[in-house]
Amino acid sequence: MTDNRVNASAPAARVLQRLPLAALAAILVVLVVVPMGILLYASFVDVPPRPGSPPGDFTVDNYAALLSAGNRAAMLNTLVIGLGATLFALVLGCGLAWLAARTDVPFKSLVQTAGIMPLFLSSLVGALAWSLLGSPEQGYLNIVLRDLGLPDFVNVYSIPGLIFVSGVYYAPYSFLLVYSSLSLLNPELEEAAYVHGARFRHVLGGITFKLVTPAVLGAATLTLVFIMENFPIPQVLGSPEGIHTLPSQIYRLMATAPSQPNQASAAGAILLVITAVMVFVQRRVLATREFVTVTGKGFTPRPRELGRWRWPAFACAMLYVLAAVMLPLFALVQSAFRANPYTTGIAAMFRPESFETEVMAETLESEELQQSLLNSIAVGAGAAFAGGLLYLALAYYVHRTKEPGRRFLSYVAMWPAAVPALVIGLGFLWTWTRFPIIYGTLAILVLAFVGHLLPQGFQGISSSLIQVHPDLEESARVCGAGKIRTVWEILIPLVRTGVIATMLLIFILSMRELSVAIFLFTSDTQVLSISIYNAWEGGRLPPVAAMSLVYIAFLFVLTFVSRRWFGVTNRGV
Amino acid sequence: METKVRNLTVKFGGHVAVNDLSLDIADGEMLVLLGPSGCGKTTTMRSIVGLQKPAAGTITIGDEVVFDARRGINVPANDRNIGMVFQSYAIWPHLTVAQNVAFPLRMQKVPKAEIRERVAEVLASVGLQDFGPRGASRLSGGQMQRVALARSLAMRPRMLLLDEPLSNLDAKLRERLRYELRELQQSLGMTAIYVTHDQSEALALADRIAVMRDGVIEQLAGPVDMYRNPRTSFVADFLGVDNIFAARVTGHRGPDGSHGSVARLDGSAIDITAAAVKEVGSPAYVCIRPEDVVLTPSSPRRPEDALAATVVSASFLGDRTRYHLAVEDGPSLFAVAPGAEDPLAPGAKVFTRVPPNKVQLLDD
Ligand SMILES: Nc1ncnc2c1ncn2[C@@H]1O[C@H](COP(=O)(O)OP(=O)(O)OP(=O)(O)O)[C@@H](O)[C@H]1O
Ligand SMILES: [Mg+2]
Repeated sequence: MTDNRVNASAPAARVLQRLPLAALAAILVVLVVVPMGILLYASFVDVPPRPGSPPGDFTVDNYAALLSAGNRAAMLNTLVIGLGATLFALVLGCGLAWLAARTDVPFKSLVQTAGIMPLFLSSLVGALAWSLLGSPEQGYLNIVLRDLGLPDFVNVYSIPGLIFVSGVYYAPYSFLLVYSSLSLLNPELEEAAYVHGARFRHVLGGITFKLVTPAVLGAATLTLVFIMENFPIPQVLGSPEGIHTLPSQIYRLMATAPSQPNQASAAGAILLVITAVMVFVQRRVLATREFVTVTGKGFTPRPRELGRWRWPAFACAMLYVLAAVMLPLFALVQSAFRANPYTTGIAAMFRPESFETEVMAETLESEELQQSLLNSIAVGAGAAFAGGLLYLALAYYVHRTKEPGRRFLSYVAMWPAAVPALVIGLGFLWTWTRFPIIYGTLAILVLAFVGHLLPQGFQGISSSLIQVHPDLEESARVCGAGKIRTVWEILIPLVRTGVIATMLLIFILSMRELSVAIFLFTSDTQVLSISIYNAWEGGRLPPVAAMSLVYIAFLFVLTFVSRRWFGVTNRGV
Repeated sequence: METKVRNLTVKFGGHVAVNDLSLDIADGEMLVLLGPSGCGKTTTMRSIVGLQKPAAGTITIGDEVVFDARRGINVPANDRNIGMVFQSYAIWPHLTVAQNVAFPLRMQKVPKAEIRERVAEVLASVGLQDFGPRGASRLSGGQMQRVALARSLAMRPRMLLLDEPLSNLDAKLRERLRYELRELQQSLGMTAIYVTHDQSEALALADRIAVMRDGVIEQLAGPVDMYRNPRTSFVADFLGVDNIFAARVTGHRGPDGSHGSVARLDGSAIDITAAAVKEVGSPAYVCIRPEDVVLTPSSPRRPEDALAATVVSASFLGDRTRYHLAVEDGPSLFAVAPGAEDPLAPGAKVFTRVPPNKVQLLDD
């Protein structure tokens, strides 16, 4: 299309035409590039990047210090826990996905729900609940074991314990990816193997899981990134025994006096490099291994008959629910509704007299909870609205216009996927401490979440935009509607549910997040996850349990509502 | 190998997909199962190959009973050694062509060297000798069909089942592969069941055709016999008889009533004469092939046999022209006139005549 009007009023019009690109690029630079830049800068100088401090001298000491014994141990732990827990999460997630997607396991929808249920708890609450359950000696599980005359061997404050808890709470990601891939698999591919002489185990290992290898590999790298950058689990379960990973080490460098912000930045940079490399590898791997297994003709999925293994398989799925949801809820209820935090045995746990609602009532009435719940909602809603608008504008620009710079924008929009949440928080801290209008308010949290959730939001809205065929818009243009009118009357109504679903996803994910906020809150701007964490650091366990229960209830309702009425099914919810 | 299916019944919940079906397939025979969508063709095949457990009946292949509901025998699919080409081909996309073909041999624990040999041999027999190392996800439809066939042949199956193996291909390729398939099957002497709902495919391929309807076999006969003498109007319809009219026998022709019957088409005053003799008053379907309708532009010599009609539309097909006619005060009639003459224009008046020996009076 040649547009004469633009050429006619040359320079002014051209500037005007570039305005959207400039605006979007500026926003992305502020949200993504600047924080990472300042973080990297801080890792190479000897002065903390605080307001008023001098620029500092170039040094590599911060990186050299990372080779100290403590830091080396943290890196090794990150790797060991990351790999071990990823393997465990894959086994759990793939197993559940296969049962739910391809077998005649009883109560199928229950098994399917089991695969995602742990997401309601978030890794923070999961870790807290498991510290109540599995701490050495005082953990509820050990109390029960002693009461039964068995050795009290449970100890989640250990590397195997960290692997176990991380695996349990990150299994849903493998489940979601592998489940959707398995349920799209043409069953004739498996049947052909049976017909050609293969036995069940050949088919399962040689055909079924080989065919969903791209999904399994994708899930593996994603889970590995998530677990390695996870902060709450190693902080809650590892630090009591001095077991640190890179994220908890970054926090320790920041939070224990004298704080070493430059070293923390260097550790953050290392973590950033590790996750970035893995995300890059994942993209490459997935790009080259896209098996097309879905045929045009509709097929009826024919479930594999498990025979006498039906009920044992179901029991395994329920065992997972027990470990991921039921036991933690039990521990939280025990701790929140109890006069005396110490129990002696099983009988004491279930004696009606030992239950009381005082802590719960106090917590519900406390200003701390109410304020932080309000803050959480405000931050979540702010991120959902501001983010929703930004992601929509970005997605529209990238997918629906022919303007320059589209590749660059979509590329930068995916960056935060490679940046650990804790590192985003650190970058925002260094960037915004100079601006008291932003720093110390809820706005900085909103900004950080909008940046952190950019990939999910951009992808979510893009996919609903792509589904609307350009012909639909073009036919409106042909019918005489202007550009803006077309967007307003055709595009917006068509993508509305997709956009709302993405905004809800942003809302939920930001409610669930601790790590982004941990360096950015002040006493007035605590969100719920921060309040819970602070209460835990202060050793106030009953309020921790009570607030966690409120938190879970809130997440549950939100997730349920968005799944039920808005069809939010993106990974992670 | 000779195969016997006896009283096969398959149910999905309360729905009976195959109902008390019995079928014998001779050694080396190609049997075509023909029928409309949902009549139970795939279900019958899946039962024979062992992917679907029937509710009742027996299935015997050679001397081996592979399924017997009463005696509780149900040999699993992987031990039946029956090849099957799936409608979607089910080529494993994560394996190469050669690996796909080698799979059944690996399952049979054939030594490696022999596998290589047999894979090469079988790929050559389907004309894919150079495709071995290719990834299977980047094949054309026709190539996939051959790989699926090669994979099944490699296991040297006792019989071969093909479920609409050509339905995903374009018309030209379909025709070519149809002949290749037939020749290969005959040269190997392979017993085969072929499922389709395309009548021309059925006629071209079959030693015998079984027309299925609602889970039962409506007619089982050789292609020529079935084409000439469909037993019911349903079979006739499936074999390309376009003119089927509900009617009632009103009288007989000839001095002793043995020269044929006269049928009155329901809802009109049109009488059609057929060579067959049927009881007066019985309902019947008048079935006429479009190519048996004779068109004459001028009034015929024996007007009592002819029907006046108007051309509604004409489609010129090269070697013939197909007409849609409206019979005066009667139904639509389809006719095919051979030759490449100029077609009649819509609105033209014609007279149609059908020789009584080309009119069939059939049951439903
Ligand atoms: N897994 C199943 N569960 C329930 N009903 C089924 C199932 N498979 C087939 N049916 C039903 O059984 C009947 C026969 O199906 P079948 O697939 O054998 O038909 P078909 O003759 O192969 O049809 P098509 O030509 O469309 O492939 C149909 O009514 C179908 O809806
Ligand atoms: Mg079928």
